[in-house]
Amino acid sequence: MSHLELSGISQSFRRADGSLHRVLAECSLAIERGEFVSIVGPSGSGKTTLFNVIAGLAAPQSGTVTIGGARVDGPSARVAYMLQKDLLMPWRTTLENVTLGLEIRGVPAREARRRGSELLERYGLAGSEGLYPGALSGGMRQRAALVRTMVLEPEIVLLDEPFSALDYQTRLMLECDVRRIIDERGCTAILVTHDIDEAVSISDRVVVLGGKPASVKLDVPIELTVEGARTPVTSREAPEFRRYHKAIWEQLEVALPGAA
Amino acid sequence: MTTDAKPLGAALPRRVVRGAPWLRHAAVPAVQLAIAAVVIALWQFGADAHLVNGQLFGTPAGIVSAARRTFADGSMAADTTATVYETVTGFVLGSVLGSVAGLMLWYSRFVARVVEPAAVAFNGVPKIALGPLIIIWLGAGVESKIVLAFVSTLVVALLAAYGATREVDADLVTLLRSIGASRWQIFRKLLLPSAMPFMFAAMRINVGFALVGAVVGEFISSQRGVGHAVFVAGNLFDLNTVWLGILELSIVAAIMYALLARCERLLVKGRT
Ligand SMILES: Nc1ncnc2c1ncn2[C@@H]1O[C@H](COP(=O)(O)OP(=O)(O)OP(=O)(O)O)[C@@H](O)[C@H]1O
Ligand SMILES: [Mg+2]
Repeated sequence: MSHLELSGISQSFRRADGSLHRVLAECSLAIERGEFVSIVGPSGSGKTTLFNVIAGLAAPQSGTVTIGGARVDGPSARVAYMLQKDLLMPWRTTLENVTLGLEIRGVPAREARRRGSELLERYGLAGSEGLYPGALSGGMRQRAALVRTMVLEPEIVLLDEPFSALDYQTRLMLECDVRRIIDERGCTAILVTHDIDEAVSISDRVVVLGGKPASVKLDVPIELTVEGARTPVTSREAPEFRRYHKAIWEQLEVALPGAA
Repeated sequence: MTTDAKPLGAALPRRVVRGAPWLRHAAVPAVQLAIAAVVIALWQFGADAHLVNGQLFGTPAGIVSAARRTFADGSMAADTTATVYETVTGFVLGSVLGSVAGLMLWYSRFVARVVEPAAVAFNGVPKIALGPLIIIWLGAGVESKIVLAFVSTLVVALLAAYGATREVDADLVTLLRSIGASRWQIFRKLLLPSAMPFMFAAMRINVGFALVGAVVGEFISSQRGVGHAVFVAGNLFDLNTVWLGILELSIVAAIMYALLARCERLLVKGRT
């Protein structure tokens, strides 16, 4: 039994004119415990829709999601969601933002603060506990959002383009940190990204969603030969890197000028 | 935990101002006082030299003696107390009930869609037009003025609070839901704090509206209040007493703004 199993997920939305807009068709995917999987696909292919189903925020039209064999039918403490926008609340300090989820889950305030500060410190945000988000840089804000996600001690982390608003260097750094932190905690992670390099360099496996309605078009394990430890930075030096990039690129059906 | 820490940016001066800190703080009020003093002196001088018609424009000395007189006979205290009572009661009721109702509309899209067009239409009505009705129904006492101040502020507060709930980032709602937040928790932790600045903006506007409501009510029919005093004095061409009333009303408004600003600093955090 895999940690996370999607079987035959279909989802549609009703358009304003009443017709049915089929977004996902029969998506099936099994992800093992501790695996880091990236999902790439054209804009509008239903990646966020799929995440909403996994997070239990929307029931699929058909199909089932199971986590550790248990069926998902609502938001679950085993899953944490991190979005492209950091979504820090401007009226809360960094620490108060980080402890938001614990507060909602009814963890006593002192305990929540202790756990929050500990993680902030561990993930390089020591000293910013009392600052409001307006005083943090983009990278620090996204890092705080990551701490807010991890402090909930999820089994599965859903990352919906969390790096896309960052500059290249901050992004690489954060990619490395996220991968390390996820591994450290033994979490299973799914990352949605538009950046093929990012998907290949950070993941154990890349899934391509495509078609209308979308389904899984490609599912490739990434095996890279690197010297020393594999990180999103060293991965980019691997000889196989370009080959994976090309294989995924071809599946994305990107309409390029001149490639009629 | 340091909850009172300011964003780093707030600690930095916006631009370099030369001079001692106390001088920098004192500069603006000093200039304001100087301008007021010059205007008052010119006004008095003009009236004394018969360059300005003191009968038509009043004089600073006349305003001072009107103040002395009304202070001595107790009418200043009675009138300002009445107006402040009407204004503040109407303002608080209108702001609180309006804000609560506006926030509640977030709970029910259906009710919101029923109520919104009516609220928008009512918002456009000059509330003064309701004065005669309200006074006929409630009489010439303070109640009718409170209700006028109340209806003048209610819909502004309601629309501001409801508008604020619609400005809330849908992704933040998604995030909270994914954590397992109940609707009440989403309201408490997200809707309320994010609507707070909008509600305060509405209250700043409503200070003026509440005063207009109370004073116009006093104009129409009353025995007491700054509006009453101004109305009576105006009919008698006692311009000095009219000026005094205007001065009293501006002081009341200024105090209300200051108190509001203090509440806002206490309740709205993390924004500059
Ligand atoms: N709640 C909804 N109601 C109606 N249509 C929706 C809803 N959510 C998503 N859709 C539609 O479903 C399609 C897929 O949306 P989704 O957000 O999942 O795409 P995505 O793959 O995440 O795209 P992007 O890469 O741009 O984030 C879009 O056409 C969108 O308009
Ligand atoms: Mg998306």
